[in-house]
This record gives sequence, C-alpha cells and structure tokens, in this order.
Amino acid sequence: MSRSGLAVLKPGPLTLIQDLGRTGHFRHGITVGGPADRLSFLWANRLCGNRANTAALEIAIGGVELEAGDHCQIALAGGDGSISINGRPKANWCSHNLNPGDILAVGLLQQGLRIYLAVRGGFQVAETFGSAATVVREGLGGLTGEALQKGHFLPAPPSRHEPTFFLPPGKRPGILPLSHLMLVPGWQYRDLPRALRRDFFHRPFRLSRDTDRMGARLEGDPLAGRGGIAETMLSEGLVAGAVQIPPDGLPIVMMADHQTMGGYPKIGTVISRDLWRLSQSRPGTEVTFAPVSSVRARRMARQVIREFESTRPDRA
Amino acid sequence: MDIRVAGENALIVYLARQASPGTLSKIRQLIRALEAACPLEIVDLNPGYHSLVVVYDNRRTSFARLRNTIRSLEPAGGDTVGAGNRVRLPVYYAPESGPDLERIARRHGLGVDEVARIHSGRPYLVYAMGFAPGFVYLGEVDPRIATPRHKTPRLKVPPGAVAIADAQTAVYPCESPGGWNLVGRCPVTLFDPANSQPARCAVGDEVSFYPIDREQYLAMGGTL
Repeated sequence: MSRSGLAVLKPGPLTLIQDLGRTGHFRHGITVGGPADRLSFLWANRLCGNRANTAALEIAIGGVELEAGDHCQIALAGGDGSISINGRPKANWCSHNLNPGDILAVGLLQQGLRIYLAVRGGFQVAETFGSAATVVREGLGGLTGEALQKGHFLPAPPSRHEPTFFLPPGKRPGILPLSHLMLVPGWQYRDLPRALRRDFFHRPFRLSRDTDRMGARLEGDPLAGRGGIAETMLSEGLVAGAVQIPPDGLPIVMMADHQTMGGYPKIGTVISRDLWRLSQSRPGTEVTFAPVSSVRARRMARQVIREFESTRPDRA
Repeated sequence: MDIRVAGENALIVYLARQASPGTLSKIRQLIRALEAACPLEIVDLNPGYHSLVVVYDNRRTSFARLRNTIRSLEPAGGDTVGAGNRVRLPVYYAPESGPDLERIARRHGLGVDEVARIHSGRPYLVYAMGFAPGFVYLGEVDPRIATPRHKTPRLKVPPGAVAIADAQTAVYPCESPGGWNLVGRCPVTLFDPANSQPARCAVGDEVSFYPIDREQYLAMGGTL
C-alpha cells in the first residue's frame, strides 16, 4: 500500500515548507519566517478547505514535480507558470483532486517568483517552537531544516473527490505590477537628515540580485549623508518590512526570514501588502517609496484581511 | 520614554539613551508589565540594548492606544524584577581555538594568557539576544582587551566561538559568518531547539567564563 502524501521527484531550486511562522520568539533570536507572500499562501490553503495556519509549500521560481501516494486534494495560488497533472495543463488559483500515481508539475514561473501549493489537511510535519516554517539559516522547520530535496516524502492525509474551487482573475489579489511601496515613516526617521529623507521618497531603486528571504537589497543612486545617528546607534529589534540604510546608502528591506536585531538606522517600515508583493518581484524591478501614516496603514492592513475573508471562490 | 512608530503593527520604546544595568532592568520590567496588562494585544516583544520593539495585533489595538498603555506602565527603574540566573561557561582559550588572541594581545601590549585572564575575570550581563538563535550580547568587556571588529567579516565562525567586539563579548551558538575577534571556544551547547528551554541564557542573566585546558575542552565534547 502506498503512503498518503506527495513524493518529491524534482524539488526545484528553493521549495520550502511554510506555515504562518514562529511568533513570540524574537527574544531568543528566532525569526518569524513563514510565507514571503502571505496572501497567496492564505488563498492556497483556503482553496482546499484548510485553516489559515496550515503547512504548505512555497515554491520559488518553479521546476517542481511531485507524485501523489494516495488520493488527495491540492490547491495552487501565487505566481504564474505552467501547471500540469500527468502532462495535462491545469489552472492556477484552483484546487485539484489527485489520484495515486498522478504527477503534478509546476514549470518555471513566468510571472511572479513564488507559487504556493497546499494540500487538503496540510502537510504533516513536526513543529519546532510551534511552527513548521522552514528557516534555512537557522536550520529550523520543514522536514530537515532545509529546502526540499529529491526523494523527500511529504506526508499528508488522504482525501477523495472533494469539491474543487477556483478564484477567477477578477477576484485575485494583485501581485503585479509593483511600482510604489508604501512605507510608514518611523524608527530613526526624525533623526535622519532632511535631504536623505527627501531623496529616499523621490529616487527610484532597483531590486538587486542579492535579494533573498532574509532581505531585499536595493540598487541605484546611493543615499548620501546619514548624519551622526549612524555612529551612535545601538542594536535594536527588527520587524519584517523595516528598511535599513547601511553605510553604502543602499536600502535593505527586511523580509520574512530577517535577522531579529540590527544596528543600522531605519527610515520606516513597508506595509505588509506591499512587502508580500515585493517578494513576488524579480531582480531589476524598479521600486519607489511613498509615505503613508500609521493610522492609514493599519486601516489598509485590516482591509486586506477583510477582503480576503469576504471574497468567495467559485466552484471549479 | 520615547515611543515611535515601527510599522503598521509595531512600535519601538526607547527607555534610555544608553545601555546600562539600570536600562536593562527597566526593559525587563516593561516586558513583564506589558505581558500582564495586554496579553491578547501583544504578538511579540523584541528587546534591544536600550529599547523594546512591540509587535501588536492590529485588530485589537492601535499605535495610539498602546502608546497610552505603555506610558501608564512606565517602569520606575530599580531592579524590582529580580536578577536573572547566573550561568558559568567553560572556555578553552588558546591560539588554536581563538585565532585572534594574539592580535588582541599585541594590540594591547599583553600576553595571550593575560587576555584570557582578563576576559574570564569579570561577570557579564546579557543585554540582548538576537542576530541568530541563542546569540547573546554580553557587556561590558574590560577596556584593556576591548577590540574593534574585523573590517571584513570571516565567512565561517565555528559554533561555540567566544568573541569580542569593542566592549561586547559573545558566544556564537552555531556556525555563521562573523566579524568579531575570536578568543576561544566553549564546548557547551547554548541553543538546542529540542530542549524545552532552548536557549541556555536569557536577557538579564549574569554570565561568567572560566578557563579550561585542551584536554578538558575535548572531554566536554568540544571539537577543534
């Protein structure tokens, strides 16, 4: 009898088991982790009937092949590429039933950088600090604290002929194009020289190749003159979205796996919705920042979640 | 207390201008007070040398409301929280385990043994934890051995490496890149995710080092 779950035939360059991450452990130096694009992750789980905090796969770039061990239902959401089951094209933002031996393939993504694959009932993985989220740098989460490898087996409960759901294009959250990142000014904002603040909001940057789940590095005309603040700063806590201005004047945006502390001045924090979209953007993408008040940012964050909760997918 | 916005669902409280045992005590008091006053609103707390980042649930509170709460909880100072644990850690100080020992000794006109004696000669306070799981920032190092970071960080620092950066000292819990000056190795595991208390030390603890020789280091499970 075959096991219930998915066997990894091709792991892809960076496929990670993720749930909503480890919260409450900053003071031990443990980062949150979790999906880089949380909204697509939430949709993948929802489309196959899971609760929000259910372990699913984050597939970066694509190139993944999985074989079903038993009947199961999967769902995909996020960046777009060719999806097939036994060679037959299938839709993204949709749930699909798999039979034992079926081969699910996710080709290279043509749009966006990450696609999420959830399985009905969730991948059954041991948790560390209350989470299965893989943070490779810390060696925590997933099957082994690493990205998926060929030959891994991802256990999941069987499910047969469940109804499938589809999110039509008009109802999907926009993941692209991204031009403006909304940023809540804060942290050392008031201590940074006026000229630097002005330049920051008026200058376009490009997303660097050296971007990963820890931080998004930006390239372009460096911001000059951080003033005296940089020399006297003591290390302090970080959160996802915080934008550091290091000595070279090129901003770094903290992403899901960010280090928990840092000693560079910070100009503010990108709002969550735009941080998720940034994680779907490719190197070379032009990025500009626009200021938003914390009151408005909070309203927008609540709005994004309300919209997710009130949107009903169609029966596929 | 200076309370600033740190994002759509986070704020940072600066409790003092400088790091000091008094500041540390205030941070710990504020953590306790916040955990007691608003357990549902608080998502995570991230203490630094003189600050505390508070991540909160946007649906339950707002920056303005939480700022008022924090102002009403302003810690008076004085250590009413009580001191942390005392942790003693063995260190094998030698050029083979601490490749920067000689550099530090030369810089300050000391012998290698003196550097080890001075480093293990006083207790340190855990001011902060972060950078990597279980990485503790300890202060203050004796000015006679305080040494600035390397200009170019090493790509690999081994687990258990005991290191100095300016007036701070630390033990690397796991292999990672790092720019601190390495003075020795500690054979004790400082961070074990499988343990119910994964981190050996906590903010506010007092850590002291005692020298061991090569044989003891290897016998305690140390590797070279």
